[in-house]
Amino acid sequence: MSESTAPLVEMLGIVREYGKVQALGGVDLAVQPGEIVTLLGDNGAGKSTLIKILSGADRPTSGEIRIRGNAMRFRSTRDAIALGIETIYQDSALVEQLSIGRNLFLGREPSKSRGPVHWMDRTQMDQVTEELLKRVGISKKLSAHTPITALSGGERQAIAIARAMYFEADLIVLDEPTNNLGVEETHGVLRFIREAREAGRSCVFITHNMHHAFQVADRAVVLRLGKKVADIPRSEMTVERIERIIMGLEDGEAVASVG
Amino acid sequence: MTCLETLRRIVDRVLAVRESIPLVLLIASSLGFYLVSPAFLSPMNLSNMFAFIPELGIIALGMTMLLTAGVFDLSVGAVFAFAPLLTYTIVNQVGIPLELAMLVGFAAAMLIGLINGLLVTKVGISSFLVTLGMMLVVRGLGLYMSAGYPQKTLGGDPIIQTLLVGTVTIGPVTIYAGLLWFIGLAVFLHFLLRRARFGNWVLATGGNGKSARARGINTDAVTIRLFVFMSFLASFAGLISATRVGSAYPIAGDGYELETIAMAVVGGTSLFGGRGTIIGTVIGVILIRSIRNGIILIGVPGLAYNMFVGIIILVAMSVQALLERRNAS
Amino acid sequence: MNLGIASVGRRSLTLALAAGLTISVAACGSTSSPAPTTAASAAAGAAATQAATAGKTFYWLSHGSASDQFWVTAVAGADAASKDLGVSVKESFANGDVAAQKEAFNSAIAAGAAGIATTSPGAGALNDEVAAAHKAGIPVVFFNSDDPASGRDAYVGANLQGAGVQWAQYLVDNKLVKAGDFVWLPVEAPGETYQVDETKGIASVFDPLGIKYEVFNASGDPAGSLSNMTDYMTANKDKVKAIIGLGDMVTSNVQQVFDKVGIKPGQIPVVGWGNTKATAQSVAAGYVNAATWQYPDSQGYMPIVLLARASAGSLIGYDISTMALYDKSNVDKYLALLK
Repeated sequence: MSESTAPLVEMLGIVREYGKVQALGGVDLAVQPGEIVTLLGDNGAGKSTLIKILSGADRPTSGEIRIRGNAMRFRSTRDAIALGIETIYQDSALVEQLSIGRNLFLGREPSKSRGPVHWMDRTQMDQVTEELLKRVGISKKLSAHTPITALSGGERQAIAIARAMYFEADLIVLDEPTNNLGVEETHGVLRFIREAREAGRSCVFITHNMHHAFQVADRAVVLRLGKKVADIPRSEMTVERIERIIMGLEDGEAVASVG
Repeated sequence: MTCLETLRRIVDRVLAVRESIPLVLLIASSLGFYLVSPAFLSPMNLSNMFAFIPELGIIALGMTMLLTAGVFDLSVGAVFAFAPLLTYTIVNQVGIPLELAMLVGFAAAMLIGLINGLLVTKVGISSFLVTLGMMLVVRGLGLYMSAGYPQKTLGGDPIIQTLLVGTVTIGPVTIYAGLLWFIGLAVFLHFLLRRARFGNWVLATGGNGKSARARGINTDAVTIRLFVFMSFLASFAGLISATRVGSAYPIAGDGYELETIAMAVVGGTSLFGGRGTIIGTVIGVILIRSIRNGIILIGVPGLAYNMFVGIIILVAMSVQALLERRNAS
Repeated sequence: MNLGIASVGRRSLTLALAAGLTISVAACGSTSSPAPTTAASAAAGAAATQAATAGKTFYWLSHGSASDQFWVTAVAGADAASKDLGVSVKESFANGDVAAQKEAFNSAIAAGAAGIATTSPGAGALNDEVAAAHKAGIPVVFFNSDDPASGRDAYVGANLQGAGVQWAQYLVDNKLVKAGDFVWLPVEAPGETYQVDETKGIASVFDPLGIKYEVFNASGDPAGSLSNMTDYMTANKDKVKAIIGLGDMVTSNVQQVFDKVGIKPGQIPVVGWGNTKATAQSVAAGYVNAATWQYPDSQGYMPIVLLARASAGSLIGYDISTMALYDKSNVDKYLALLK
């Protein structure tokens, strides 16, 4: 692959072993700018492990991660975030005890002070929060000071995605974003993913729901027992075929497109 | 009917603020004590009552920060005794100036906090076990070092004496320097927790450490810094106390760890992290101190004293918990 | 070590408790010998002993530390006995380490000591050692802190129950309290042996006279005890007719408490332990009427005298009580010692 067409993120030969257990056995995954990739597979296939490594929460036993063609080593989520990779976990990574505003800016609170104590710029936090709430369409009864406990599951996902959008992440990683959500809320989340693509962002998301995957994904990657068994573009995706691959009834490699 | 409804709404509104519960308890218990013993609200009693507040209060402030971050520190009482003991042992036996010895005392305390923090975060032992062990280590070290004997703390630098234990008398009320330190620290920590970036990280660390780490917050560093700060506060409070009492005793501060946790929790800080209020702790400190004072004033039998204090603390905690549950639903 | 009462100036009661050196004296050593043997008569005996014991070696073992003022004074007493009697006295400090003290005791037996003087580091801690010494024909005298169950030959030191009697009797004899009056007994650690024994002595005087009293838990925490005592006196300054400080820390708190609550020196009579400088100063200033001193130098000197008598063939089955009340008239002598 030449330098000019370097993918946004490239994971090469990722191996993760926990003692004698091999969770990932040499997985390659590439995401192009503006591309939405869905990560599919049965429970224990290694999807979550791969996502954790991509988000900096876990480190591979061996293998390489390249961002825009440059090899990178993530020591923590902080490193990944700094390189534009935002991860939104299953239960949305929000702190329930904090308000919406404090959650949105968690870890990157704006501050104008130069002294040893960084006082938060609360005016800016409140303004941006109200704007974002309007943008994601849940501003009706919510303010920047509403605690997360008062929000529904969909609203929480919306806040988490809004946060990734605001901080202009190049790659938004979502772990089961539609789990436990109602129909309305699910549509909201899928809409945000599409909007992210329109804004030029890339997206990797894990799901168990094939229909959600088909609604937004440009490409489907299937993991099975820690190995990549299929990498299928939108045009070649059918529900039956992917289900057969997930269950191991069909060999995905034969039809895998180039990575 | 509507009048009752309005009243109920007002009561609900008031009780929804965390700090209002301990405040109501404080007003109610003070009124009770005053009715039984009018001396309770006399200027002399109030100034005596407030004289002893900084010792426990300063530690309770630090404990509030730790509890908010989801950990606590049982070694504070031991550090409270150890740091001034070390400081004045150096002054009395080695003969170096108090200013320098104080720095040594603070540094030793902060090292203890650092070890606590490292063991909790990097080795991954619960803060209960780490600080329980550290309490025994530090208490034992203090006793061994001093062979059980206190160190004289009188006759130090007059400026430092004034800074630590000076008094200002306004009419019948005497205000101690320690109280001013307590107020200053309370104001600073209140704003730190509510308005500063670090405060947000403390709340997030205790509320949902996993999420905080996912947002790139170094929760280990937050926890370690708080442990170091806690030990520093305990040593500072110990220095004030030892200087005020005239001797640094190796057994000083016994039981302070639990008393300060009680103060923070009565004030509305959660034992499980994520929720903390400095204003509540200030009220909790005054509440428990006034309960101890009031119990003696109304004249319970001398040996049953702790029993009554315990009962009132249990009642206060229960009211707090019940109203909390009511607010949540 | 009398649970810490035994200190000159600087030792608090509960320190010792916390250090694990608590001694539960099964029964107070010298309840059967209320009349203290005076130092003068014992010293006279010492002169007669000299000829018979010259050149012998005695061991003097303390659980304390050589850096503490109390023990500095006590060990000087032992040195004086060595000089006066012409005997050799080997002194050692265990710094609170019971094992070290047991080891020192056993070495003394092995070295063929003419007699061993020791403190009790804890109830029963030296039972085996005392038995072994007796088997080897070596007399053993306890000083400062007693453990009668060990089978020691004699005890030199303060008598806790006797102290209680002394305080109560002082208040009664000087007509400071009368039937129906209330006497307040603050203490650092209620329930500990010293409080129980002292209260027993107080009760033996007050109960028949109809004088009421109450033990108050001031707590062993220095700042806390001061604050608790202040609180109590704020509410009860009219009710309390006299105060007996059952420990050194509470007695030394009295002056500060009175100043805070606005009680003039002498307005409420106070007696109690007086081994601290703060208390001696309170006596001089009139806040404390009389306080008990426990003669650290004699706790060094007298055990050697008793042992010398024993090794010369005398019987020594009696205890020596080294305590006396001092008041404003003679406080200067004690203040001079507490420099």
